[in-house]
Amino acid sequence: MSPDPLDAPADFGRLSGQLGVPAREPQPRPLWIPFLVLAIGAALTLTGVAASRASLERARQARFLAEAETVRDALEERLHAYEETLAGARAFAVAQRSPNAETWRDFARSLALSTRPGIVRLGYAQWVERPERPAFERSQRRSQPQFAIHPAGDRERYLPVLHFEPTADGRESSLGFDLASSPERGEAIERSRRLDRATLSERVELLQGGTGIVMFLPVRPALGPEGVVYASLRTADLVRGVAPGAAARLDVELFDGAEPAAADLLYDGRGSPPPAPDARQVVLPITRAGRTLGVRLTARQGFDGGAASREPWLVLAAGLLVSTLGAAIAWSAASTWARAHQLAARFARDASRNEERVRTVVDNVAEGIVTFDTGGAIGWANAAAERLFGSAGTALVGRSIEELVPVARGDLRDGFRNEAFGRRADGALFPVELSVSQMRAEDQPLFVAVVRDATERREVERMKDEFVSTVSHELRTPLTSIRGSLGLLRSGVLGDLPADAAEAVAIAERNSERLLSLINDILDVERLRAGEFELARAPVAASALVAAALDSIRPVADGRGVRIETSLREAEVDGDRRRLGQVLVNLLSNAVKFSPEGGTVRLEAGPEGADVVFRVIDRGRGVPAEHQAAIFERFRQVEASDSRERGGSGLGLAICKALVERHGGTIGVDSVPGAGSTFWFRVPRAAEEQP
Amino acid sequence: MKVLVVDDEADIRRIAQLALTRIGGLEVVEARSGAEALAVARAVAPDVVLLDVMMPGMDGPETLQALRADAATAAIPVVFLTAKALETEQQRLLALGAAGVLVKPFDPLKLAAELRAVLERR
Repeated sequence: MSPDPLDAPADFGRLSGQLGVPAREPQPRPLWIPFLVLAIGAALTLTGVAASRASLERARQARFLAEAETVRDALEERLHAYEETLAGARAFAVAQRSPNAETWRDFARSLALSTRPGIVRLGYAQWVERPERPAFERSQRRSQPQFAIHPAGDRERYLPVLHFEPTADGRESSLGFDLASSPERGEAIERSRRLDRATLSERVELLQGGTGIVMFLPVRPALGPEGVVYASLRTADLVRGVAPGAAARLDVELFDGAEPAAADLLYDGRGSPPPAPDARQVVLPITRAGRTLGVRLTARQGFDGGAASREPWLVLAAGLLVSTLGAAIAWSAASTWARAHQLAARFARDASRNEERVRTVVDNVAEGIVTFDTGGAIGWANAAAERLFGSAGTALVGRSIEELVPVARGDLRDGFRNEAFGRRADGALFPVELSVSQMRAEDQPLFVAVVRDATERREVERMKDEFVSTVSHELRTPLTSIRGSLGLLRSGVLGDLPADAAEAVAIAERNSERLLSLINDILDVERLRAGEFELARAPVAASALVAAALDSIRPVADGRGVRIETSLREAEVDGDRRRLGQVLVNLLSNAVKFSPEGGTVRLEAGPEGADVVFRVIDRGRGVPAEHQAAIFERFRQVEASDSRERGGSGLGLAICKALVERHGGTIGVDSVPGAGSTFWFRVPRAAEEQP
Repeated sequence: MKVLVVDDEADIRRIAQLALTRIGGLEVVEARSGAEALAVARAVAPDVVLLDVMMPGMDGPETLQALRADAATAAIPVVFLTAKALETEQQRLLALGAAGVLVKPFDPLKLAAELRAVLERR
């Protein structure tokens, strides 16, 4: 597993944590959001439009009402002004005691009645009791010959018009007209007399033509006759010209009474074209001179104007624009969001796919992998582990690692790597190779055990051992016969051989020895590798080892004319006499083989610190630096031809190395190519010898 | 001294017979199998049995046990002759009650001497 304690557990935790968790489905792209934004925007816009319309409507209505009130106020003002005029006329009449035609005419003209629109007559009438009528008429006829009180009829009192202005229109029928004879006028006259203030009559048909009302004010001088001053008001003229700006946009109707009724219509100012049926309309009261008039004002077409009416549309357009813009932004945001989501989903999918791959790999490796915590409880296991340890229906998670591999818990720590036995669910033991590494996951120590089933490997090894054993046995048996036969022949016990035959037998015997040596080497290597042999260790004198080795090698050395010189400082080693001898002979044998004929091999032995060191020095061709490590491996010789030319299996140095290392020693070579080699090994000195 | 050589290989028996008689001056009787060895041992009462380990039928160790089981042959020393060079194998054979173990291939010139040495060590 990863040697990094920071990365690996996180990865593993993620793996174990998410295994089996399906990838999240990608969310659908939220297209409704821009539509929602658009809908909200549109709703707000419509609300805005409505508000704008309402506001506009309120403004228009307010303007309409303001204009209507302007008209009404102007009318009222005008009536008020005429009351004042009448008050002036009364003051004049009182001052005159009884005005005559001339003074009245002068007074009236000084008022410039033409500047007081609507007043068609400003007149003076005087009360006459019935008994006084004839005398009164006679007296009047002195200045106005045609004077007569009319209409005819016998009444208790008469109120004949004596003076009036203007007179230019030639309608003189007013003179002598008994104002009190008309019920419409009489009522107002009576009221004014009673209240001593100006009053307005009902709707009357004016003598001068047209519809109108008459305003009366009683005249009661301290000395002189009682009478009234009156102003006949033609409503058409009264209304015309009032508030000209506002009146231009409004149709004005004037009614007698606060409630408009056709019968009471005083003035109809409705023009052409007629107002729309739903046109703005208001009835405002004018209370003046003890009477209430109603002014009905109706907005003419076009009153509301054009420019202002565009506002709701502007609001609508702006609102829709902003809404659309908002929706577009929302759409863009939603798209970005959707893309981000897609991306996230893809990553999740990729991650999930990756995880699946990892899971597939993890589940399909031949090695069982389990994790366990410090208490030995298994937290996770791959499929191979389930296969190795489980039987159908059993789960490893939650069980103890010790149930699976009966190894002391203390041993199952980081770096554990050894052969052991695994226990299957049915209790059967099987050989495993087990390695344990420790990591940290979510801050907790986590152990990962990798378990390989060693059953097959063990079987193969067993078969190989058997094979080697069998082959060596099978080889040694015929070799026994060959060697035995050759030995008997050479010994002469079977009779003397001719010289050539003896030489041939010697060759055959030498090669059978070589073959035997090769077979023995192979067996040795296998046994060493399998750790199958025991060393018989005991204190051995270096001199004894050297002497035995020299005995063995001397025939070979003599045969090549190689001289062996020794340099010995006595010491005792702790070792197996036979095996160390074997090493020494092997090194000497090599030195002799690779020495030139007639050359010298030097053997040195002596204590060095806690060891005894042996050196075999030759003047041969040496060992190239690149081969110096390799020659101690099995089946290695510096040159392939060495095996044939010099004999030897190529196993000798590998055996030497294994034997020295079994003694706890080291072996090596120092060599200068072309100048020779020094093969050395050092093994521990015997205990009582050690300094 | 009479030596019973037991081996299923005729060549080995012949070489051993030559080596022991011509060089060692010993008397040799042969047997081709464990079963035959039992019969011969009973019949001739050899001074030592040189017994091959790997044989078809009754192998060396079985033959040794059979010899020990028979009062007539129980006291005859047995020396194994084996091609198996493993030391553990030799230890095992000695533990069975063998007087000694000699390995194949043997040197015919030294075989008789080695056999004598083994018997003397007892």
